[in-house]
Amino acid sequence: MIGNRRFAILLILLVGTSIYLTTHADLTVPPNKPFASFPAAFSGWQMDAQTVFSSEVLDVLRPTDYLYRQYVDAAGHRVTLYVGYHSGGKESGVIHSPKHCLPGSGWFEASSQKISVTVPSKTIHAVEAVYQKGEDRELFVYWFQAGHKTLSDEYSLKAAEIWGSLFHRRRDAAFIRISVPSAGDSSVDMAVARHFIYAVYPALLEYLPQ
Amino acid sequence: MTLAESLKHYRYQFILLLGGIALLYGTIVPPMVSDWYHDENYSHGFIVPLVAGYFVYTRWRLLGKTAIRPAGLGLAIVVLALMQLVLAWLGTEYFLMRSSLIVLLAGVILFLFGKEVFRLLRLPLAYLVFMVPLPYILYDAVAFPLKLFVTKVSVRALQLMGVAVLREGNIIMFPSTTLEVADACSGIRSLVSLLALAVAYSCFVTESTARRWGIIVAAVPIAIVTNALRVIVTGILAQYWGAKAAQGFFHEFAGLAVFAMAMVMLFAVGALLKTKNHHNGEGKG
Repeated sequence: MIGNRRFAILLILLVGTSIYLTTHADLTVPPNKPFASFPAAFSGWQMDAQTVFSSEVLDVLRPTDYLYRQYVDAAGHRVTLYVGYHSGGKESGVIHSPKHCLPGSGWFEASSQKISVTVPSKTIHAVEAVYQKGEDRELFVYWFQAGHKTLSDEYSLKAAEIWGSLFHRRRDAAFIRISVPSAGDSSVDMAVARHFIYAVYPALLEYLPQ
Repeated sequence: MTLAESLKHYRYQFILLLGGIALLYGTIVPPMVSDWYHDENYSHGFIVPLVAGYFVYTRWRLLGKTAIRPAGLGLAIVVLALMQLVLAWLGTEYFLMRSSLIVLLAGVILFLFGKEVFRLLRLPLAYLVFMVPLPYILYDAVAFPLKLFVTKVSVRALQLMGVAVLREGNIIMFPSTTLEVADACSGIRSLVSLLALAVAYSCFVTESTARRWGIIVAAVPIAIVTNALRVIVTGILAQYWGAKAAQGFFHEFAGLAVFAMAMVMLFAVGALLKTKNHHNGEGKG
């Protein structure tokens, strides 16, 4: 005999979970300021170009706000900055891992390692990766920013999102990526990237909710 | 009470229970079905529940007569499945959300019917895993090295055949044209489908665990070899008839032809294992 009690227990669990899932909605946390007003110049870096994504790209990424710009410094070093901010609300997409996005367009990961980048009063946990497409090499430094935490892998990001959603109804997070076309010497590329991150980080903090 | 009797006796309760599961997974399963439709890597998803259903059907005679012994352990598994679902939901992790349904079904079966029935149903249940698309981060971790490997092997073979080619990453360069070995050609698409097929086939063709594993394991090199062949033939076409020949109709056709060839090879492995079994005189027919 199974008994009605067993069915009742199962039904209560199923319906209870359903109710939790449908009523639990994360808060939509907008960025502190619209990214369009992001400074075009800061400590030696000058904006050179800005890319606006097509609606197809935006449909896939579904960021709440994003920034895709090139900056150059006086010495002619060129850096591309991408910031994708996801508010955590229903309409914002999940952060795509660069491990998935970059190789899709023919770029191969030549190397990848975790690093820390020192900025004023903080250490950023990031990934330093070199991608290669034919003869072209490009250095990428990226990290995920969830509140005040900087995370260097997708699994910690997921864990932070789950934790935030469970206890604070928040899972807003940003993906920050700096890329430097290789000048041939990887230590020079990395120095350029560090230099840029040092300069841009305070501005980023003003725009991303903590 | 047997399983058949319990299904009849508690029919209204079972309908309610199915309603509860449908309510919970109503927003989770339909997008997965739409993935099967839109993602060519998972078009075999449509067949997986049918095969699992067929597994149940072939066992039905035995299942119906099996005595039920509800097991409390099942409830713990149900709770685990629901926790998996909630955490995956909060983190928008589709693979864990979707696969929690399989864990939930396993728990429900144990909780209501007990170990005997569960033992008979564990193969169809486990088979359902093939219907859940893998997380892309895992998929890519396999697909990219595989793509590079297939490109390397194909270029080496083309060079041995006297075709002048160079390789850079996943790009094959001919004097006149270049070919990119795309994701689809890495063989992972046919690897997942072929594995699903191999498991089903092995379970129908033999009852010996060792032989089943033989067939399932063989699916991996078969998928890789047939895909390398596809790249090689495409390369020869591109060399002698230009890139157009390699990219148009042939490319579509080659995908199907390669999968058909892989299936034939798989069946050959199955037949080979069966013959060996006859020689040893321990076969079951």
